[in-house]
Amino acid sequence: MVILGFFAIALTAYAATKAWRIARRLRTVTLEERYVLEKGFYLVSTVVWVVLVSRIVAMVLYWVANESLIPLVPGAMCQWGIHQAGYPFSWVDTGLKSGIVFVYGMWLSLDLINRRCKGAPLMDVLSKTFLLFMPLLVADSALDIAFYFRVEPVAVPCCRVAFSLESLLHICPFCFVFHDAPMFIAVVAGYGLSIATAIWGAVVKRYADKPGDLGEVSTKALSILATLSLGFAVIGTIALVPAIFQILTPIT
Amino acid sequence: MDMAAKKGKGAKLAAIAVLLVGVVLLGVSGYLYYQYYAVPRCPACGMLITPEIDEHFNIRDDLGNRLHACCPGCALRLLDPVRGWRNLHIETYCDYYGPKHRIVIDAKDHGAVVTVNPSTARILLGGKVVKGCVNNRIAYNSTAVEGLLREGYTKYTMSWMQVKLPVGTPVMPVDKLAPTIAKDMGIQYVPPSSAMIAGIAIVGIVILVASIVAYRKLMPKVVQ
Repeated sequence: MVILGFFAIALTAYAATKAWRIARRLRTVTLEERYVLEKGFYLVSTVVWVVLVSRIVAMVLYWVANESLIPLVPGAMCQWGIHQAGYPFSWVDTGLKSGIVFVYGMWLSLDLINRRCKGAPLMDVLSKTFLLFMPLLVADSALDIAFYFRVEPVAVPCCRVAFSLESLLHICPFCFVFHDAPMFIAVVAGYGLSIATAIWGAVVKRYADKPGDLGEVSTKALSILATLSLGFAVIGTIALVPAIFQILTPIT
Repeated sequence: MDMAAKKGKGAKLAAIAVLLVGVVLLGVSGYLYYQYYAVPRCPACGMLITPEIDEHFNIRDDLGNRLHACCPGCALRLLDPVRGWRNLHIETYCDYYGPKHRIVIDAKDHGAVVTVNPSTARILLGGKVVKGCVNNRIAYNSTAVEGLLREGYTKYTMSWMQVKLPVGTPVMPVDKLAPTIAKDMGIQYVPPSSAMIAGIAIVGIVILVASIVAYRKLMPKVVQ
């Protein structure tokens, strides 16, 4: 996770300078210069793909890494304990990790459309949005580094302290999803991806009405995203049935 | 092959697929249900009872029913005046000296009357300093208490508890601790309620409906 964090920051810094140059010069260039910028943009796009895909992989790896740390932290019975050991970076990192896939996916969907169109019509938008996402990308990577450097084998309280009879939430969500009812991982993943693809679709929809290549490619992408969104929701619902069966209280 | 035959074959395949998914679903849910309820939990905190914990504590109620607890603190919390048991017979052993040094606790009237054998037995309630069952120990005598305070654990301490005790861990006689911990902490674990399960199901249905609406709105008219 730490290596992935450093890797992402380094590549982001490289891509950001290139994207900044493209975004700044794009409006005033001649047709020939635009062609040169376009070639430069493909390099940026490839680098950003590597960064974003590595961050999405890190998002999954994050939960696996936290789970593997549990035996190393005294008192930690679930990921809540790991979060306590990595406080305060852990909580911010988790919050950020829950939302980044929506943002990164937007950029990746638009870039896929851009690659399939002649003349890279979304080059300007993609360069600017990448610069806009850059602080988020850096924060995401830096928080991983800070969190995993912060975690030490200190004695932490058990999650039952926070999730008791008196608390608003009686059941620890980490224990519930990762240990008690793991089928909910599939439910959360299915529904999460369904919402994410719907959001990406909503962004892509803006370009579906555009004339020419862009409109055509966006329309095709939109139909794929809409189908994927529905498919993921169905998968989530299918997984929900055994997940609920699992936690139904037995008749005594 | 004509269209009707193709359609018939497709429908058969779809029916087989649905049947297979149904069988897999039933199997998975049955297995997960078994996994969720076949393993007993500590009624006080909800921790799953491993064979090691099971071997460490033998707790019986008035009727001789076997109960479970994950640590000496939780064993006494079972005497909760509201949600717990009135009388309990607890057999365990010293976390320092091991199974040859048995400790027997007979608690009556939610911990108001407690007999401990040996009377030198003490509970090290590290959970009072850093909340968590992992920091609680039971010791046979003062030497065991000193040893546990110094080292935290021995090979006889349960593997998940093999950590140093927090600084300032209070050492308490079992009869003094029983009524207070039963009243103040008591049974805290609550299994998933019907309202929670219904809530989860409703959220699932809402997301599915929303995704159908999104599909209809997002799907380009030409493709539809």
